[in-house]
Amino acid sequence: MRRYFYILTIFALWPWSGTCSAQAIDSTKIIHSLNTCWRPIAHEFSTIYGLEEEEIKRYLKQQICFTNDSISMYAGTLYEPKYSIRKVNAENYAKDNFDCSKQRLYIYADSLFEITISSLTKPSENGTIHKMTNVIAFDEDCIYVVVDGVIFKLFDASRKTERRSGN
Amino acid sequence: MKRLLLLFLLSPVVLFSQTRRQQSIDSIKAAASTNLKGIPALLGSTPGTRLENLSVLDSGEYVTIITRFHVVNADAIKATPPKPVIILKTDSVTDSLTTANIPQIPPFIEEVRLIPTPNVILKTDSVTDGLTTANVPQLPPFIEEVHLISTPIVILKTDIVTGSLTAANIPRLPPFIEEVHLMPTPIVILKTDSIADLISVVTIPPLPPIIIEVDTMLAVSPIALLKTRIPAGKMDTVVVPDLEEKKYPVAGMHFSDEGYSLLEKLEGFSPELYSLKDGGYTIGFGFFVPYSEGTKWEKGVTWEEAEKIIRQKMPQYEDQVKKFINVPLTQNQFDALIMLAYNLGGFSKATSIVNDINSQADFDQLRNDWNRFVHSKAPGVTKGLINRRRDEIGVRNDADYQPKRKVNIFKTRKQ
Repeated sequence: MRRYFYILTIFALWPWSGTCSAQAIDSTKIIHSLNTCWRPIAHEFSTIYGLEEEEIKRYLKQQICFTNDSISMYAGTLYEPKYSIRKVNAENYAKDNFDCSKQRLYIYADSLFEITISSLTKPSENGTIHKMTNVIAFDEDCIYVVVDGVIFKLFDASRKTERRSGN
Repeated sequence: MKRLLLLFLLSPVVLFSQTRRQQSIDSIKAAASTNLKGIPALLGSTPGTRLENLSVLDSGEYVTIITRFHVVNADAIKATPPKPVIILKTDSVTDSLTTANIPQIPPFIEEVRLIPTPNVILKTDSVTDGLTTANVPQLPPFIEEVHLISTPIVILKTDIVTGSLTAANIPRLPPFIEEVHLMPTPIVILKTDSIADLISVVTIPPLPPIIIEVDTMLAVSPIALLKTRIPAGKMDTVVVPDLEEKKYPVAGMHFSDEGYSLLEKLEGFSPELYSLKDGGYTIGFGFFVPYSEGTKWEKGVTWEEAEKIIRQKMPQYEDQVKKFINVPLTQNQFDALIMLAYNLGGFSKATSIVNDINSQADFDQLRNDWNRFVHSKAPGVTKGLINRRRDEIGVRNDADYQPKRKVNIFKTRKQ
């Protein structure tokens, strides 16, 4: 009976033991997890950045939405997204990209998925379609999007609260 | 008394030498006159050719005979077949380039001459008659223009001079340049007679079609000066066609030596920790050190160590640019992006610029987005960032690897 109690305890605690930190899960699941709209909940500045105050205010009201076929981001809608995913240490991500600690970027997970998105633009007036590359980070709870030196942390718009995880 | 006696004894010798010298001058005059008389005959078969001016100057030491004539059709000057000389011109090199460190010079280049502006003229006479601008082999990538002209005339032309440039203030001309002629438009023609011994009036080889005026001076050694009266703008279109910029896939590109040189100047060198007042220090060529890691760098760095470090750090920025950019770039465009990435502390932040480049937006849009990166929470850095963006755009757009302002290489502000 005691043995079953231990097992039940382990299963009960499992979701709270760092689930927000990136686990080794398959790409399909990660991509599927992205397919929603994300609303900004925090932002932080790089040492040098390129956004005006008004733009930051506007972006803080703007959602980013992923579907299977498109992504609506700040620069416009991107089509036929293809994803390349790699797991990175969150502290290293913060240091490499922003020369700061992960806490300063509101990252609480130990590791992140750095997701490189290759997509196509809408055809221009002369019919030209351009290939675009965007990189976001994902900790299975929130996404982190950098726009001209300002990093925005976005939370699933359909959910009510952010789940803090990791350390 | 002795001196007078010596003078008396030597006077026949002096008189004799003066007579010989006069005979020599007379023979030069005669030979020159013969040649000069031959010029109209030489050109007579060409309609529109006329002798405009002919003068003889005797300075006592040498004789200069100047003839000025117009040649409507330069091919009228009959001569022996030209020995092709190839001049390779680049403006992508910086002042730091020396004849010693020009990379990958092809073996047929025999001479390298540096002029003070960021131009390098490479000259060879070892090429064969079959050489054309199209089949010059193995040119190093920094060569942007190739001009074939005929020996023994060397014309060095630059279009990078400004209105303020005069013949007097062109700095540090190489020793073989003896005259500088400024055209009304910002074109400078530099003249040399270092090869003049090879030529004479009758052996001037077929001139390039843009040459419509020939000034011939006969002195101790003949000097030929070829000029054009075609406006410089037109001359540019004839002689210096705009060559298509060479673009390369970014995957194989690396930050250039010119880029390193400029970046080091812009970052400045600090042998000790230099406080940024916003969470860290820099040391060496702007290497960021968080306050928490300051003790590791207490010993400071030497210039040589800093140069080694910057080269160790650069691949990380190259990789970032390669990761985001998926269109071919010229070397200077690539360098500008690396410099931006270095200053921002990572290229992933430059999202607008990435979008502009990948979507091949027009330059105005790119420049606007580039110039947006002038904001910082650190106090008093905006002006410096504006200058920095201007320098990067100069590299990107004009391959201009010179700082646009006086830069202080050595920085000290330890905390």
